[in-house]
Amino acid sequence: MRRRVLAWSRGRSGSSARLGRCIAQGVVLLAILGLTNGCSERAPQRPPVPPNVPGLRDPALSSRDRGEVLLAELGCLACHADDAASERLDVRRGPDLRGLATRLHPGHVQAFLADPHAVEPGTTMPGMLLDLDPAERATAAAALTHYLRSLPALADAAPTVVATAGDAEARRRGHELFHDIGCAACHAPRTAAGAEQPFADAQPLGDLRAKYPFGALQAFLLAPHTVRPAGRMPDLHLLPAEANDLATFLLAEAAPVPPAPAIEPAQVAAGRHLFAARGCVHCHELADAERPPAKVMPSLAKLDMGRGCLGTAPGAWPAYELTDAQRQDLTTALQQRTEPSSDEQRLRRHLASRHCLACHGRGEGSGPGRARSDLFRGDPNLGEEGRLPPPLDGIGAKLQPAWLEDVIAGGTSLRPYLRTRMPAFGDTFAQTLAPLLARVDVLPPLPLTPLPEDDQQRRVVHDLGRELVGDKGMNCITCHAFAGEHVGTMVALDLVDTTAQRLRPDWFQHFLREPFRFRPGTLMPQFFVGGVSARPTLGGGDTQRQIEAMWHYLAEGRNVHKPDGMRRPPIPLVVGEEAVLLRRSVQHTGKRAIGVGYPRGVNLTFDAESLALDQIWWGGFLDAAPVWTGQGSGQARLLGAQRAMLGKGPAFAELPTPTSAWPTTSRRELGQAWLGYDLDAQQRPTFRYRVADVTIDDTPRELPDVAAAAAAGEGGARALLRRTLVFTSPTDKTLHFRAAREARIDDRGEGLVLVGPALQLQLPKGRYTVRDAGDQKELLVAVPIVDGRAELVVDYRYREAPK
Amino acid sequence: MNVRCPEALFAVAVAAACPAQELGNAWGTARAEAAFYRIVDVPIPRELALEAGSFCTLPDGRLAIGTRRGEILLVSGAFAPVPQPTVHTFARGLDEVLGLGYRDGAFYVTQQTEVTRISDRDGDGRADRFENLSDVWGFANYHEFAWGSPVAPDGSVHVVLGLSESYHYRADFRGFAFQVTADGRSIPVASGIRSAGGVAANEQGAMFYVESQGPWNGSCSLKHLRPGSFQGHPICFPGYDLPLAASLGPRPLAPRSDSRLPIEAARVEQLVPYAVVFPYRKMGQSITTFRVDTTAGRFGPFAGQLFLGDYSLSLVMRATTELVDGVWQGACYQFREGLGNGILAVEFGPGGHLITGGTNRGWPVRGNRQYVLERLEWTGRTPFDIERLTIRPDGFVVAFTKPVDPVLAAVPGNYRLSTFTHIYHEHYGSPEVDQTTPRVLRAEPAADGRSVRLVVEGMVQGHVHAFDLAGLRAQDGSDLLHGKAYYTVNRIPR
Repeated sequence: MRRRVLAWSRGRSGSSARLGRCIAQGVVLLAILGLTNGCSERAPQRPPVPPNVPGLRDPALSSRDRGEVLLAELGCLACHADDAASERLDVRRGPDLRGLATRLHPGHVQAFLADPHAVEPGTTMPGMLLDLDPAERATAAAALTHYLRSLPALADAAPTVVATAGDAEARRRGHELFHDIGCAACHAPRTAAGAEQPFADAQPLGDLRAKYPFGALQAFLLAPHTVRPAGRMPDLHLLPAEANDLATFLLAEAAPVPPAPAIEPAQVAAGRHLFAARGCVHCHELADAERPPAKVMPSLAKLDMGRGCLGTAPGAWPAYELTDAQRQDLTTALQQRTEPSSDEQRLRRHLASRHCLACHGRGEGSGPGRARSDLFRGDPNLGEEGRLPPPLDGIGAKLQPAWLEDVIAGGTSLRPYLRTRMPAFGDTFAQTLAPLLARVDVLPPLPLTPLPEDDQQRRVVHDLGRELVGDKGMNCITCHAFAGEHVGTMVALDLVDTTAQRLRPDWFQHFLREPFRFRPGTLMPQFFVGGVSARPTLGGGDTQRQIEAMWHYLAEGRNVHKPDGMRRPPIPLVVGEEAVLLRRSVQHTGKRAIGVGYPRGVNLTFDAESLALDQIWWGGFLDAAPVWTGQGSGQARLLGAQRAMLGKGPAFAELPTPTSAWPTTSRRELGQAWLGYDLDAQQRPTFRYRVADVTIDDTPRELPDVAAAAAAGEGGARALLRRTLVFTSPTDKTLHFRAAREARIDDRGEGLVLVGPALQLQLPKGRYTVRDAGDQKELLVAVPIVDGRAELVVDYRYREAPK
Repeated sequence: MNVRCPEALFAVAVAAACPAQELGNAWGTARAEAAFYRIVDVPIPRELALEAGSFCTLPDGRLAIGTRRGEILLVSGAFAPVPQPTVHTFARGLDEVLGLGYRDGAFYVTQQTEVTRISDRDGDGRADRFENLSDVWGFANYHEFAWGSPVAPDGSVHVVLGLSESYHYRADFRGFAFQVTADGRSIPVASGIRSAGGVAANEQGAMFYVESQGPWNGSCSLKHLRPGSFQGHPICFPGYDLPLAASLGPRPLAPRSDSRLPIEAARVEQLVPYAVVFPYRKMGQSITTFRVDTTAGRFGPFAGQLFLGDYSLSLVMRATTELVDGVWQGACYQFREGLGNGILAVEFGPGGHLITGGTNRGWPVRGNRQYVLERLEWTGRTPFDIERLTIRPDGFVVAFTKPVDPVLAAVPGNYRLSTFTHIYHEHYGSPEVDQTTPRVLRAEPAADGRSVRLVVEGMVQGHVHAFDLAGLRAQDGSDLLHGKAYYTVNRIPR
């Protein structure tokens, strides 16, 4: 009846009391476990599957280094105390098991507990029940599963964002994301249908469909460190939509999962004891007041190598199924465990623990292998640098310490052209790795002359830096973005955003002198060959002065005065089938312009301040760049070249007599009001305003100009503008309309009036007069309102005088 | 918008360089905040070049965006659990829409030169009627911004008008605020505005606007638009001579420069003390706009508080207000940094999200992502944070979002309290001056641990009271997410 099933015992005293307590509760346990004495066929009938620690393929690692990595990655240090712990890597503990009931399918949990290597080949979770015979193992796994499912949820776990998988399009996006953002750097690439493709050293994911409910996988991908605080699965800072797409892809066509059986208290009790007795608790910390304490394991110093976990025989210990090489590496590490390690060695081990070299190179022969390298994509304009994550050679001497820590902890990235994302590894790792990198990577110091105190001298430095960065100097801006803008088709790192906050000044100077030394494949030209500047006329040709000036200039930040060559690209407003409006300051008309671009290539501005049609032009409409870039300090620029101005000031007035002078006061002082405008189906406005008590509906429309079309090639525009003005008033009166004010106005009779060099107005015969107004002429149209209504139609054409 | 030397920067052919502005990390809390409030992209097609200037939500659940480029965009799906929105252009061709409201089938739009009511009469989904409700103010320069409130239940809109280039009075009513009624009347409300940001009602319905640091403003602040009030910058006084300003009464007494606000407020009866002062750089650098959290808890533990966006630092802060002795005052708190662009607009959506948007052109801004729309969503995890500060005759009550460790909370030394004020003068901004250090005599945690009563000796009326509570922890062991808060004491209750 004595069972060694419940607690592992090596026959050492001290564990027997606990074992006894277990046996005392054995009525329940035995009933559950239904244990027999069977000792045969305990080991699973399959070849061993060793744990996969992909970071170990770095050729720079020694056997001892690999052993040290394994000590952490396999969780050895979670069980075995270490008298030289500070030399070791942070131990990789298992996931937080709280809330497991909502996260994982119970069938998967149970199968995994019974034989982890069979369910997730390559897992670093050892078999914890493999010394039991199959029936015992199944019973124990079931009890553990009940127990784990009974655990309360993580107190501060984030709720699932969305519970349903996306469609085929989401799956396609998920497939693309998986290969783009870096998942496939560690895990095997997958077919579009989701099948894993064989790939050396890939971290297999097992059958995710059997493991995860959809929402659970999505929540895990969104915040992997919540459940796996060890941080080996980094946080790719996915957006919820991306997590949705990825989960949709990874769980494509998930088979229906049988409903979870009810949690049985008796099984929970049995599982709780197993959890402690089997030592699960060493790796999976759980706050469970009822759980018995775990057994203390021998320290590293007292380990008997060649036995237990390190032996080849199955038994009452975690079954890792190590390869001989792994066993050898672990033995080496244990034998040399008290020997000091250099920073360089420790660094290398840290990089291996997080598999940093899956994406980055550091040293000869490291980084993504040739087969994997093809998975990295980016901007072909930037060559290999536009596609591959940056190498880590000398990175500790390159980046400012705080920046480096941020990059590792939070995954800060400034290379928008790389599809691969720098993931977040968390604060703890960053605070270890960043200082280590800074200690290992050292450059000869190149002191930087501080910016002078004197304003005048500062200005000289600024001007030199600006000139060098601009198109008359080194023309850095042809390839690099500058404060969020770029000129050319190559958009390398933003010079302003990525220099002073990010780089060490020493590195900046070394790099500018010899770019190839730091980035052997870079497209960046060397501007200081042999230390001699390629721009000898600037700043006296002094290399040091030039480099320092560029540094200080770029350090001014985002509001730096932009260098020459940063042109502001135009934003032409293109008119298609419908009219286009712009209310913004427009050239000549001013702040309250309403620009209208009509189909057929005629345009106008109506001035909502003076309530007047201000200018008409033919050809292109407006360039909005002056009002839509920077602070918008400019005026929208007229694009068409055939322009006509109609004169400033109010266009309507009640004149005491027909010969009275046109008022010089503003429309506001005249009591005129702007009412607004309506748009027709083609987005063409009818402007509405009020003069005295007369409401004016002012509707300009474009029409084909048949005569002009016939005369095309003789300077004739092909569209005319017909303006229909409707006047309604409670009282009858005569308003005057000043249709134009120009130096040259010719009445050609029959209603045809020429204004300026090329504008022709067609007016109702006999209703208008042309009169002198100082050095200008005015074209006045009388508008008698009869029975509360009047209508006026005016055509505007463009006719250049024959040359 | 509030940046030193901004006008020169983007004007054409300026040879002079402005002093460099270091934006850097504001608080360094983004990573910690992310566990509680997640920033989610609401993907908008890049070709729309979205530069949000204002938001409102429609009865049908859509998000309306007024843009800096003058569009009104209607977005479906912005509040979906996984936002994959579709965008419909309702109107375009407007002039910097920095105020947007919707009522009875019409949009109430504040653009630079007018308040416009915009509707779709034929129901084809596109605007076809644009009615001018008010264009009573003038303009002399592109740098004269008009910010508008959401539309009130009575159909009115409040508009605040920045000075010419933020410094001068070169056109009618620059530096004034108006209430524009649904029938097109423009009622002057206040004068003395410098470089305004957003305008809206607080939780209790009182109107506030955001002011920027500059002349007569030592730092950015939230100010109460008391009808008839003077908001502190006297250069706009010629506007009192315009007929429309008659209802405001005569010009206020001119404030004296190199003084202190409480001293001048005692002299100048229309001068309203600045309700919540945001110490420069510590609490934003260019606050733009705010909304009240009306989500009833779906956005976390700060229901009813004000959430303010900052342009330069791409972050969101919180503020609370209370009326003491007839004067509004309150406190500001850090909330969430790390947004993608300079925030011009924030709005709570029906799903309990805070939509944020803006631009990053024209003024230096920390977030350098172009054309993004983001939303902040509560992850469901409650941070340990200062919920709010309220004043008492002999001290303050500090409320927390979770029970505080009662042992630490009872130690007066864990409440580092200091005060300061600004010089009230015609020069740009102000250093913090007149510092004092009040003593926390007693700290009495409530039985439920959710608040602590502080008995304080040496509170200073008219000063900002700066709290640093970094020494406290929650009962569950978590650290304070943000340990700092700033309470502006205009009045000490009796």
